[in-house]
Amino acid sequence: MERYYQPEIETMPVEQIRAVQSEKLVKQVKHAYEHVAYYRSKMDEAGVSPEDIRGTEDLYKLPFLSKEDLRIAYPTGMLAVPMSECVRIQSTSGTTGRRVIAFYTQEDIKLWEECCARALTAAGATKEDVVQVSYGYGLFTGGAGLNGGSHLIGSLTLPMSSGNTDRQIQFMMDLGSTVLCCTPSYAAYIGETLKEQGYKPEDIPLKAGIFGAEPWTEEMRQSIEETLGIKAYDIYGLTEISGPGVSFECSEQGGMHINEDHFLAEIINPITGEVLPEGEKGELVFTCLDKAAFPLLRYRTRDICQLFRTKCSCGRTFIRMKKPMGRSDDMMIIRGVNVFPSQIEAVLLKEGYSANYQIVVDRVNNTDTFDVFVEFLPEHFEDTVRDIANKERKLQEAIRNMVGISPKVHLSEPKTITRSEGKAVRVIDRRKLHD
Amino acid sequence: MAVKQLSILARNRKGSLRKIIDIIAASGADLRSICIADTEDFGILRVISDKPDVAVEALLDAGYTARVRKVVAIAVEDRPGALAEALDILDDAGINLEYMYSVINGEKDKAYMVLRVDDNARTEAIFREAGIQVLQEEDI
Repeated sequence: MERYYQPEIETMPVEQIRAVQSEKLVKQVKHAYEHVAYYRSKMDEAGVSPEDIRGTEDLYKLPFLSKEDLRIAYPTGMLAVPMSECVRIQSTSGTTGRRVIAFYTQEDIKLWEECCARALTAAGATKEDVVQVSYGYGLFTGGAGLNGGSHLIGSLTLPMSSGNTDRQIQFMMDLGSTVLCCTPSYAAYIGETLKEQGYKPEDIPLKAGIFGAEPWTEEMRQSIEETLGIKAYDIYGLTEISGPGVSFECSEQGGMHINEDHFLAEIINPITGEVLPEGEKGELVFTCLDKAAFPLLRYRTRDICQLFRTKCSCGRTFIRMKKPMGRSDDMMIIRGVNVFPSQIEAVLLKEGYSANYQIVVDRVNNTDTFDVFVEFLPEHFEDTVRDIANKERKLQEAIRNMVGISPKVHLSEPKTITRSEGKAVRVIDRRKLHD
Repeated sequence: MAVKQLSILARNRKGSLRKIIDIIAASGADLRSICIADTEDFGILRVISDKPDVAVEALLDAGYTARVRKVVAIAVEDRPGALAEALDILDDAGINLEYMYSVINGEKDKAYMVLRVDDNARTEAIFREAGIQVLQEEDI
């Protein structure tokens, strides 16, 4: 029996969703135009006034916002309410070199936490559950969002933050955590540590996990589900739009439902900016429909994905998004070929390796070098150089079949590739240093 | 039959050999022979020891990738051409030699050799037939 946090909203008929979105959009555009000088000048430049936006059908007329706009408007140029109305900030990790500060009013926090409560409920969490939040707390939205959502449901919430894996495991066992929220790479690490300590899946009290904030593959989902003996649910979000819970997976585990009463999604051609029809692959763009403090309109996420509104067995009517194929920030162009780290990961897991790997791209004599470092599992160790070379060659071949170009594969001792407890560093692109 | 050899995967990095040797020493195992095969990224250390099972436990506990496998050990006469003759025997039988190294021993007129082949039992039988001494665990 599917459970919902806000059934009347989550199962609303599609026409009603559209009506709600149109009504909110008209108000939001007016709000942004009146209070955000930066966006007003963008709209003026594009020759669009708030009166031109009468509903979602007019959305395409609005100018886009990008990470670059947020950098220019840093720190408060996008703020649409007086600072005294704000109760919190969150911030991005700045991994792409441009830190973003997002502001929230009390109402903004509430709607965000409700989105997280919807995600937790969809993963089976109730008041009776013990929710272990092992996302980082602090500026990162992961910890704060799921913590708030878990409180709304009334679950006992363990604000563990990330790191200190032995303590994570101790609390998990002593208090009987049933739902784990963290990055998928940390979930895999916790699973590996539990296994090393001799725990079998049936010894682990967890029943579900909500994992997001970094790209992961179906293979990784399977491996986490097996090691921890749980169902692993995907969650999506970004600080600019609110945080985790912009979309979430239901029991069908086939795409993430976007919380459409708050966030309006579009897919565009990343080069021309043209809006693409439902089902086509392109860049995901979000419009915040009712956030007051940081009301981003048509924000380009850089995530490449697809939207589809087919009937879902869970009963939710919200449109679904596929797992992003990768951020266009993550996409590497190596020797002229587009390569996503998620493709490499899929090959490794399929070939029986761990998902702990690192890609190093460099440029030597004007040619791109492409090296993949892979940890190999102790049980694969044969004692001849030839065997290791054969394994490397086989992986190299498999990666070439997947991405079209051939890397140099380096198998290395287990646990030698740096592990992070937050977001994993999968790609080191040294070419940028030379340019 | 055959003798136990300990293999350890080691990263090509300063001090890594020393650490491995320290762990083996601390486990109380004595080294009879050590041989290293190295590539650009890592090396494989092959060790003949009096207590390979004790040493492998210590290395696994310390997080190393290590295993014990059986290899063939023979004693050949200490004269020019003796090893070549032994290898000819393998060649004639169509046995592929993966690698080989020598082990120290107390006998003055014998050289002890360790050989890694696919089929230990068959290799030992062929050596015996040809009158070459096949060594056991207790011999080395």
